[in-house]
Amino acid sequence: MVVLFLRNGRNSFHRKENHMEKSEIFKKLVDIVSPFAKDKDALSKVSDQMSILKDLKVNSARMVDIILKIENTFNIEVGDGDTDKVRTIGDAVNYIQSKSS
Amino acid sequence: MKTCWVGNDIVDLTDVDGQLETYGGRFVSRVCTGDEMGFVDSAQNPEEIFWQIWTAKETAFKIYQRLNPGESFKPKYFEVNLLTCLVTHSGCKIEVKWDKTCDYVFCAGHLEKDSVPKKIFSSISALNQIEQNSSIHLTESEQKSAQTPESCAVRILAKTLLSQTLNLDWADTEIIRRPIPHDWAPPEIRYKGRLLDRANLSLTHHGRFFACTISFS
Repeated sequence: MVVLFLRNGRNSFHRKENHMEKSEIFKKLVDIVSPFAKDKDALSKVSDQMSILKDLKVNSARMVDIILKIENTFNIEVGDGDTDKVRTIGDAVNYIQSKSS
Repeated sequence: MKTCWVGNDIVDLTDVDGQLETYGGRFVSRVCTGDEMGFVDSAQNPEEIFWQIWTAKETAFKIYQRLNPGESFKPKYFEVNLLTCLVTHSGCKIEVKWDKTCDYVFCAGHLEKDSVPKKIFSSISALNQIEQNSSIHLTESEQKSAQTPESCAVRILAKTLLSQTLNLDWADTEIIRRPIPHDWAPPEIRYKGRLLDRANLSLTHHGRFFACTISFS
C-alpha cells in the first residue's frame, strides 16, 4: 500500500515536471516559426487556426527546418510521416504536447 | 481526353533560402534517402545536387497532390533517381527534367504513365523581366487567389506562355487557385469562363525567379 502510494506520487511529480502548458509551447513555437514567416502581418496576429505554410507563408524547405528546430527545442522526435500533424499552429502545439507528456 | 498532370519547382540559389548553410545540420539527411545522400556526399557541388533532388521531390509532390488532394509533403517519401530522372512514391512514377544555371535550379515533371499525345512547355523568368511585360492584366478573380506580388507575377508569366503556345487570348484566360484547408488547391486554367481540362498548369516562384509549366493533351 505504501509502495503504491509512493509510486503514484513519483509518477505525478514527473508528469508535472515534463508537462508543458499549451501557452508555453505556443510561445516557443511562434519563436521558432517567426524568422521564416514571410507574412509578417499574419504573424502579428498568429493564432491556433493559422496554417504554417498557407497563412504564415513559410516555404516548404523551411518547414523541414522548423520541424528539426521543434525536435531540438522540445526534445521530441517528429516522424517523417507526421508532417500532416503540424500543419496549423494549434495542431503543432497539440502534437508537441502529446509527444512531450 | 485525359489530362497530363504536370508539376514544377524552382530554387533561387542566390536567395538565403537557397543556401544550405542557413539550414539546420540535419536538414539534408531529413530530406534525402540513403541513396540520395550518396549522390549529395559524392558530388563536386553538393549544394546543387541537393537542390536538384529537392526540386524533383517538390515537382513530384505537386503531381501526387493532384491525384491525392489534401496530402501533405513528406520529402523523404519521394525517392529521386538522378540517373533515370524518375521520382517514385506510392506506386506513382514521375519523369523529371532539370534546367540549371549558377543562379537557379528548375525542375519540371509529368506522370510517367501519361502516354497520351501531349505538349509540355515551361517558361522561367526573373521578376524584373515580368514587370517589364506588364501589358497583361489579372482579372478580379485571379487577384483574389493571388495574394502576393510574386503570385501575381507568376500568373502573368503563365498567361503569357498560354497565349504564346496555345494561342489563348490572355484577356479570356484566368488562372485560379481555390482555397482548401491549410493550403491552396493546384491552379486551374479557365478560358472564357470554362475550365480548360485538357490543359494542366503548375506554378512556382522562389526568390527572384518565377516559372510555369503547361501541358496540353
